[in-house]
Amino acid sequence: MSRPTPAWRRYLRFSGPDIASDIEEELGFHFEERIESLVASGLSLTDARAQATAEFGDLGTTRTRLQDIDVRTHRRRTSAERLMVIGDEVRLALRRLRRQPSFTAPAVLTLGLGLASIAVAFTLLQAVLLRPLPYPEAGQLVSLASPMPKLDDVWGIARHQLPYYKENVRAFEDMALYQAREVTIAGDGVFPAERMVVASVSASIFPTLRIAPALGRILRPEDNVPRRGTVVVLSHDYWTRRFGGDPQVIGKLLAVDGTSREIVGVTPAGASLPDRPVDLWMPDYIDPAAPPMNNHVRSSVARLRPGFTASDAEAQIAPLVVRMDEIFPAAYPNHWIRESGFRTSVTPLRDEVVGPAVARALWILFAAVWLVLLVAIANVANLVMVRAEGQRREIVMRTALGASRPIMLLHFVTEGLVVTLLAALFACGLASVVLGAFPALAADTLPRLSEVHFGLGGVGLILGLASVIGVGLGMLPMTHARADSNALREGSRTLTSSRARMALRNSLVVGQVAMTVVLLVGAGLLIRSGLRLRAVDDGFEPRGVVTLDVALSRAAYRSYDAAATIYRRLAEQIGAAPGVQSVGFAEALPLSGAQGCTGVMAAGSGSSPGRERCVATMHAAPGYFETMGIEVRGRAPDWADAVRHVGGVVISPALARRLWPDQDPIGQQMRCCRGGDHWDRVVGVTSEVHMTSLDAPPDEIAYFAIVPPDSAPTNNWPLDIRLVIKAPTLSAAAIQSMVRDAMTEIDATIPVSQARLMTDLVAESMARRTFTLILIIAAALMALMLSAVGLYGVIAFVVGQREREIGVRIAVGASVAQIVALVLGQSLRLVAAGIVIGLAGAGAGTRVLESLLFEVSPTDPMVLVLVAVSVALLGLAASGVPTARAVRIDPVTALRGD
Amino acid sequence: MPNELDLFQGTLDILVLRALSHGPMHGYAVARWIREGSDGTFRILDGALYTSLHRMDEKGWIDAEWGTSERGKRARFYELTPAGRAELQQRASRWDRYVSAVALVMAAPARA
Repeated sequence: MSRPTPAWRRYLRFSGPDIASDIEEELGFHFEERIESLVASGLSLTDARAQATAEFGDLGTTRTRLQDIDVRTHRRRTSAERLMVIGDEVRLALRRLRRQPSFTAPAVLTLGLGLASIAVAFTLLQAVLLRPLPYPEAGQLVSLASPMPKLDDVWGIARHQLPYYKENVRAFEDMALYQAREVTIAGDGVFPAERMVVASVSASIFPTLRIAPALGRILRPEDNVPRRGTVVVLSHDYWTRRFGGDPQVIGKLLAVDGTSREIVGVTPAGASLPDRPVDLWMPDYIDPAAPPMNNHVRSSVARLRPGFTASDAEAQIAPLVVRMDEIFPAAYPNHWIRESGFRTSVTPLRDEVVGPAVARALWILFAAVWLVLLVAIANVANLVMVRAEGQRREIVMRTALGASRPIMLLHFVTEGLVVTLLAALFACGLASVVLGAFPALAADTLPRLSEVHFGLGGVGLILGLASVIGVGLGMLPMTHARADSNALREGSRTLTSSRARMALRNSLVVGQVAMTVVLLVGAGLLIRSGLRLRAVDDGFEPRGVVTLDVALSRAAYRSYDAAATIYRRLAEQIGAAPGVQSVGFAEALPLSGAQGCTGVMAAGSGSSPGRERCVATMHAAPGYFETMGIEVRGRAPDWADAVRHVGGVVISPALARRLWPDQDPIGQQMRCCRGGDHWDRVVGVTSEVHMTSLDAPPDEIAYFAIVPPDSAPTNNWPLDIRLVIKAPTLSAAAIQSMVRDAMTEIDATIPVSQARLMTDLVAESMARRTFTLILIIAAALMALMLSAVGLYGVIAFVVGQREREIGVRIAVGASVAQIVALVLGQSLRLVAAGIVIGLAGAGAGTRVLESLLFEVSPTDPMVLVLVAVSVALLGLAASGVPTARAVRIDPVTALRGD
Repeated sequence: MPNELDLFQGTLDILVLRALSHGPMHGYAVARWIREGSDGTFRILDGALYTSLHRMDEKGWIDAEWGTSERGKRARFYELTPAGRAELQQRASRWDRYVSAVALVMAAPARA
C-alpha cells in the first residue's frame, strides 16, 4: 500500500474510467450477493429479489447521485494529479539541470543573450518607431515640406501657403506653421538672464496638435497678425520652474528679447513641438494680408480629416502648387515654381520625426538580433542533441518498459521549458539593465530615446519566444527515439551515432557560421563606413576649442556697429587672458546645422532665380577662421575693416566652384539675400567645411563680414552668435567663468550659455550613426562568440565520439599530423561551408544597408575577405582544444573503455 | 418493522469508517457488517450506504480500488486513507462524548 506508484503509471488515469459502467458493476455485485445470501437463508428467488430491492431504496436516485459524486471526484483528481505530475517533472528537471552545469550554464547564458538582444532591439523599435507620438489621434498628423528635385534640396513651407492650403485641401482638418528658435528672457534679481527655446507658431498649431490650455488660454488667430508680438504662452515646465506653478501668473509681463509680453496661458505638461520640447509659445507673424514671399523656412504640420491619407493630401495639393506661379506672381516670378520643380510633400509626422535613416537602422538592428537568436538556438539545440546522446539508452529503456511517447515528450518538453524559462529570466534582467542605461549613455543619439523603458511588451516577447523555443528543444531528443528502439530490439550492443543526427548537428553548425558571417559582413561594412567618415577632412580643427552662445537684445543693440563693438570688446578682453590663443565669432558652427539658407548669385552670371541653390550664409567676426583652424586662401575681414565698413565675403570652395567654375573667385562680386543693388566682394576662400554632417557633401557657405559696407541693407545685424575660443590648456568651466566675468563687466543683461567642447559637438553630429553602429556591431560580435562556442561544442563532441577510432589509428601508427588533419579537417569543412553560404547570404542581405553606408559598396571585397578569414581563424581556434585532446588520446585506455 | 430506528445524520459515515478500519472491504461486506453488528436495530437503506461510500471517496477519507471478492468476483474495494483514519478517530471521540452527555442528562435526577 505504501509502495509509491511509478510516475508513469499515474498517467494511466488520464485516459479516464467509465464511471457509469463502474457504478452498474458495483451495484450489480451488491444485488447478486444479497439475493444469494437471502436465498441461502430460505427465501424464494422472487422474495429475495423483492427484499434486496426494498433494502436498497430508490435505485434510480442513488444511481444518479453516485454518478454525480464520481464525476466530480474524477474531475478534481485528474486536474490535481496533472498539476502534481508537472510539478514533479519541473522539480526533477531542475535537479537534473543542477547536476549538469556544463550543459545548463552555456544553454541558459547563450539563449539568455539571444533573448535579451531581441528584447532590447524590440523595445527600441517600439519606443522610437512604433509607438504613436504623444498627441491625441497622432496617426492623423502629417508633416509638410517642399522638395525641389532640380535643386537637389528640400525647403520648408512659406507663410502664404498656410491660408492657401487650409482653404483648398479637403483632406486637411487643420494646418499649422512653426519654427523653434532661442530667445533671451531678461534676468530679474532672482533669475539670471537665460536663453529659452521658443516655438514661434501659427495659432492653429494648438487645434492641429490638439493641445488645450492647462491655464488661461492658448493663442488665437488674431495674435498672429500684429507685427510686434504682445503675448506669450508658457510651457508647463517653464511655468513650474520660473513661476513655481503660480496660477496668478496670467496677465503678468515677461521680457522676451527686450520686449514685454503678456502671459496669457500655460500649456499642459508634456505639450511640445513634434521634434523638440519648448519653453515658450509665441505667435509668429502670419498676416494673410501680408504680401507673399519666396521664403520657405517654416516647418508645417497638418491634421488629416478621418478617412484621408497622406498621399490623398499630397494628390490634392499637387494641382494647387502648379497654380502658385499665377496666384502669387510677386513671390514666384519667371515661372519659378515650374523652373525649380518645387512641390509640396506630405508625410506621416512620425516618419518625419524619426527620420528614414534611423528607422532603417533600427529595422536592420531588429533583423540582426533575430540572427543572433537563431545562432543561440542552434547552439542550444546542439547542446541538447549532444546531451540526448547520453540519454538515448535511458529513453530506449523507459520506452521499452512502457513509458508512452507522450510521457517521454512531457519529460523532455518540461526540461526544455525549464531551461528556456531560466534563460528568459536572465534575459529580462539583462535587458532591463541595458535599457535602463540607454537614456544616460546615449541621450540625443536617437529621437525619443528618453521615452525608452523595458515594459510588458518586452517581457511578453521574451516569455513567448522562450516557451516556443523550450517546446521545440524538448521535442529534439525524441526525434530518433523510434529508430533507437528498433536498434535495441534487434539486439545491437551499442547505439551508434546515427548519420541523421550527425547531419543535423553539422547543419546547425554550418547555419550558425553562415548567420555569423552575414552579421559580421554587415557590421564590417558599417565599421568601414565609419572609418571612411572619420577620415573625411572636416576642414577645421575642433581640438582645444570651446564654444558658448551669446545673445544680444535687438532693443539694446540697434545696429551693426553697436553689435560689432560689443563683440570686439569681448574678443579683446578674452583674447588678453592667459592661456587663450585666439577668439572669434560666427552665427553658425560646422557640423551643428546651418541657420537657414539663402539664395546667392554671382555678378554677371545672369543666373535665373530658379537656379539659386540654398546657401548657408552667416556673419563671421575676425578671429573665427583662425580659432576654428579653417584655412583661408586670400584674406578674411579684420576689425579694422569692420570699423571702416569695408565688408567682404569669404566663401567655401563648393560655392566657389558653382558660381565661378573656371575662374579665381577672389575679387569676384556676389549678391545675397534681399541685397538690392548691393554686391559683396569675395576676399577669401576657405578649406571645405561641412555644416550638417560629414556624410553629406561639403556645404556651399558664404561668411559675410561682421559689419557690411554702407551700401548694404542694414536690418540684419548678428545678435545671436557663437563665441569660439581656442585655449587648449584651459578647462571648459574655466573658460565659462572667464566669459561670464567679462560679460558682466561689459553688459550684465547679456546671457551666456554653457561652454561646450567643440569635439563634443563633432561627436554629437555622428552620434546617431555611432549609436546604431555600436548596437549592430554588438549583435555581430555576440553571434561570433556564440558560434565559436557552438563549433567548439560540436568538435569536442565529435572527438569524444571517435575516441576509440582515433585510439586505433594512433595504435596502428598514425602520426600526430594525421590526427590533427583528421579533426581539423572535419571542423574546417563545416566552417568553410558556413562561410560560403554566409557570404552568399550577405551578398543578398546587405543591399538593405546601402543607404547607411558611406563610400563603401555592400560587396566591399576587403570586408568580405576579412570576415571570411577571421571566421575561419575562429573556427581553427575553437577546434584547438578538442584537437589537442585527440592527439593526446591514449590508445590503451581508449580501447579498454566499454 | 416498527422497532427499527432511523439513523442520525452523519452517523452512517462513522459506521462505514469503523467497518473499513478492519481492512479493505467491498460495499456489500460493509452493509453486511453493519446489519449484523447492529442486530437489525437500524433501518439503513443500502442506497444510502453506497452514497456514503462514494462521498467519502470524494472527500479522500477512503480509497476505492477494483479487486476480487472472496468468491472470485470482480468487486469494488474500499480502504481507509490516513485522512479517513483521523476522521474516524475524531468522530468516534465526539460520538462518545455525545453519548455520555446524553446518558448523563437522561440519568440526572429531577430538579428540586
